[in-house]
Amino acid sequence: MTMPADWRDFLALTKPRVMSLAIFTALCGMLVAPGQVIHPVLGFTAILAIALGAGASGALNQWYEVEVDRAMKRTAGRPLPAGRMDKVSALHFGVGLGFFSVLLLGFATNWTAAIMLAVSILFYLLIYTVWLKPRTPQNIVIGGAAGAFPPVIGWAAATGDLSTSLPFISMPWMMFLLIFLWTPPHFWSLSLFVRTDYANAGIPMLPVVAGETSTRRQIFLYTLPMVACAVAIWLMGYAGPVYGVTAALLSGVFLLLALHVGFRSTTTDDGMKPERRLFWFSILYLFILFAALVADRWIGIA
Amino acid sequence: MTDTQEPFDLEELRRRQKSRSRIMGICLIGLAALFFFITIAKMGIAS
Repeated sequence: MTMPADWRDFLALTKPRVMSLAIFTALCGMLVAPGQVIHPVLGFTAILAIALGAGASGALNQWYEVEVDRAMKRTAGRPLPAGRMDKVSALHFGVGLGFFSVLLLGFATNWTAAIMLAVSILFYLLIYTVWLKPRTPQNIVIGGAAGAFPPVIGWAAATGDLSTSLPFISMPWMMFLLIFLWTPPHFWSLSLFVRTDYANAGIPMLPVVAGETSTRRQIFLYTLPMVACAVAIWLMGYAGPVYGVTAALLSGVFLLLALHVGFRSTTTDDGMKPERRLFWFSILYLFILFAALVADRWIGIA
Repeated sequence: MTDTQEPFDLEELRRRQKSRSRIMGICLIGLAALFFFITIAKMGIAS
C-alpha cells in the first residue's frame, strides 16, 4: 500500500504563486470591462473558475515535466519529483480540475469565457509544455500567450463578448498583448540566474542555447514593444491619466533596468543582482499597471 | 530480487486520510453553497 499524497501537495501542484498573477489579471480584465458590473457572485465564481483552470494547467504541466523538474534544483522539491505523489494522481487531479473549471465558468457566466479558458489550458499544456518548451529557445515567447489569457477571460466573463470591429487592438487583446510582450523579459531575466538548472535539465532556454550576451540583448529588445504597448493603451484612449502616468513612469524604470541588464558586462560577478532586480520589478510592474487600469475605470465611474 | 519497502506508518496514513477527508468535506460544502448562490444570482438576473 502506498501512502496517499498530502492535500498540501495537491495545492502545490497548482502552482499557487503563478495562479495569483492569473487571478489578479483576470479580476482586472473583469473590472475594466464596459457595461454593467458583473453580479458579485458570478464574478467571484468566474475568478474561482479561472484560478482552478490555471491550477489545472500547473498540475498537468508538472505531471508532464516530472523528469525535467527532477533535474532542476529549483523544482526538485515539487511533489512529483520529490516522490510525495504518484503521476496518476497528478494526472487525474489536473484533468478533473480542468474540466470542472471550464464547466463552472460556462454555467456561471457564458461559454465564450469557458471556451477561452479551455483554450488557455490546452495552449499551456500542448503548445507550450509538450511542443515548444523542449524544442526551441523561443518557447516562452509563443508559450507566454497562455499566461496572457486571464484578463481576456475575465473580460469575456463580464461581457460575454470579445468581438469588436478591430479584434486585435481592442482593450482585452491589448491587455493580452501587454502580458504576452512582458513574458520574455520577465522570464529571460529569471533564466539568466537559473540557467545552469535549465542546462542540466536539457531545456533549450535562450541563455543555454544562444548564450548570455544574446539573451541580454533580447531582454532589452522585447522590453521596447512591451513599453510601447503599455503606453499605447493610454494613447489609444482605453485608459485615463492615472494609468497613463503610472504606465509612463514604471515603463521608464523598466526600460532603465532592462537597459542595464541588456548591455552590462557579463564578466561582472555580482550574484546577478541587476537580473534579479529586473525579474522582481517585472512582477511588480504588471501588478501595478493592471491595478492602475482598474483605478482609472473606477475613478471614471465615480 | 529483494524488496526494499519503506516501513509503513499507519498513524501517518490515518492522519493524511483524515486531513484529505476534511478538505474534501469543506470543498463539497463550499461548492453546494456556491451553486446555491449562483442559482439565486441567475434567477435575480433573469427576473
